[in-house]
Amino acid sequence: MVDNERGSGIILLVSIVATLAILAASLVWITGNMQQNSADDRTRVKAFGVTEAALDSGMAALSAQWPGAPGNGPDLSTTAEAAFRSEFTPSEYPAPTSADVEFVSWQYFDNQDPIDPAITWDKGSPEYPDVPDNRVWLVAQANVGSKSARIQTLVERTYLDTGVPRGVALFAGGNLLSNGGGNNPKIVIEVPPPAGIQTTVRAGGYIDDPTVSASNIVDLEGAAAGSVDEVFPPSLRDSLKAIALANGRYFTSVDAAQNSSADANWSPEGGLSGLCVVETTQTVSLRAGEWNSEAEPGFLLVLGGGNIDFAGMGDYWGVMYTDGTVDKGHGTFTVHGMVVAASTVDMRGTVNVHYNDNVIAKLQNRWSLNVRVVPNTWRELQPTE
Amino acid sequence: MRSAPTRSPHGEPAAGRVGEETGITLVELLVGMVITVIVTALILTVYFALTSSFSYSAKSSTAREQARLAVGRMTREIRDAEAVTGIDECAVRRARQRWIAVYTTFNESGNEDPYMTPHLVAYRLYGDREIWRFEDLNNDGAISGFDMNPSSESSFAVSEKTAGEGASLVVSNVVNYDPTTSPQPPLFLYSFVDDTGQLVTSSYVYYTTNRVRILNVQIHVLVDLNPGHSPVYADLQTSAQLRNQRLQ
Repeated sequence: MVDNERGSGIILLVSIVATLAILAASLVWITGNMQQNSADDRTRVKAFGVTEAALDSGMAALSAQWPGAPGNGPDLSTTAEAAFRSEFTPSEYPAPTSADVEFVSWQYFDNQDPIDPAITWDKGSPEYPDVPDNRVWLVAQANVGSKSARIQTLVERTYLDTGVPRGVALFAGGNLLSNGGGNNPKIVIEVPPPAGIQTTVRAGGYIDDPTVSASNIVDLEGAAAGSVDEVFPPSLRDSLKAIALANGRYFTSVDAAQNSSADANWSPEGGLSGLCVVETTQTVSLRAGEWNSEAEPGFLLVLGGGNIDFAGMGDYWGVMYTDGTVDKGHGTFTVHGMVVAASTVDMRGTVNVHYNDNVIAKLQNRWSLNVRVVPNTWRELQPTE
Repeated sequence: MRSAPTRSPHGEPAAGRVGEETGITLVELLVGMVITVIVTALILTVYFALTSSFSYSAKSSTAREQARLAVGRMTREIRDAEAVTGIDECAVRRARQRWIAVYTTFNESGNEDPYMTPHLVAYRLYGDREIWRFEDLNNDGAISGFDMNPSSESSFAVSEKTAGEGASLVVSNVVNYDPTTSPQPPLFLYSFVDDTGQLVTSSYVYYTTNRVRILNVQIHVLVDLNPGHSPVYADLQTSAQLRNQRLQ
């Protein structure tokens, strides 16, 4: 019996050691749990950060290719997902633990009532079915490890605000000549400006033949004409040049400009169409043909002192500007919009300038520069599987 | 005096005297008891130390996790704040150092529907060191039982905790304004653009015209993880940039 009594001490010791072991293990578990919670927090923050990056990426894609028609939007599927994923190292941003979700996914759909996520283009409203409002909903979701985040926001296009004044059919910093007479009036109103705005022809010098403009247009000469900077501000010239530079539409030779390739957004037909900025001392010539349209007018800027020469059976829809002169406006060429020259304009033969306010108005939102978040539409949603 | 042990002819102890021969002396007994006491004391000391440590770790872990969740929830709801068109053109209804009220759809089922109206949510720190969350559950534009215009910005009616709509305790032992805490960090600190276009940081933002220009809310929660004993602080700081009031 003596041996058995001594065994109870061992049992007691084992019990105490076991209790201590359990407590120690619990401490380890608590510590591990805290570390896991911290890791989860970090992963959650990462998922949110990646989602916001995805939202920006989606906006950039929409900016580059606005879904103006069915099937015309950016492809935000596998290729875009792979390109986006490559920006994040797998060690720092692990793949989603669920095989059912991608690292990132996007969705965009029209905002017009009733909202239908299946309508993946900017369509008109029931009242105005053909008038898109340049807004779509964008949803981005990122899945990092075991954590996900999903954000929805309404985005809208922002436009290059040209600020080109309405109602100015032609501005010449020097004289407005009309050598050879021809078919006066050559400057007429094709589409009038809004009520209250007078259509004018302005010449910093003198107007050689007042009959060059139609009777419902007011001719302004000398100081009354204002300056070229008032009509076509340097800030506008600078911004157009910067945008042209950024988008491959700035040229330093006439040949390069005329042979430039088409760009869906900036120059639908290439050449001198769309936005075209040429910095040269050469003369930019336009002959038979048609550049742009009333729905998609353009800007032709000739900087650096070069001249513009338009002639023959041609039509240009938009605004022409030159630091130099329009010294060979002749033939039966017609400019639908507005002509601005820092120096002399010589309108010969049967050349025409048709002031078209639709063109000027359209140039206010002709080119989208960016896509931005519409205030008060940002929401964090429950992630989907 | 002990007699000499009787031995057998072979020199072994005689039977019947074995019990005397195998006994332990008093000294041996005392030494054994001392050793037992020492060992037991050591074991108990370690046991109680571990128990105490375990208890503290468990409590502090819970408190820390609770605080972290609270800060995370506040951050996400404030970040998501959204004005209610036609009711209040400002996403932040009140902006004070001890409490805030915002409109939000965060964590609402079906909030992917753009027509879902954000509802009011408020966080308030009471004098008893508790932060409570209130919510306009019935979407009537107000939180019933919750004083949106308290007479004092440092003491609030405790009855709100039971009578306030959607009241729920978020975190306890918040010592931002405890008399022993120095400095006393404001629970909420706001960065907004004032009338002159300057970015200003303040613990109060009055008037809708200013609140609509709040860009960022700093959240600072100081939690005592060891209440009733020597204070052990968990100092949680973060900021929530209001996505719907970002400068364009």
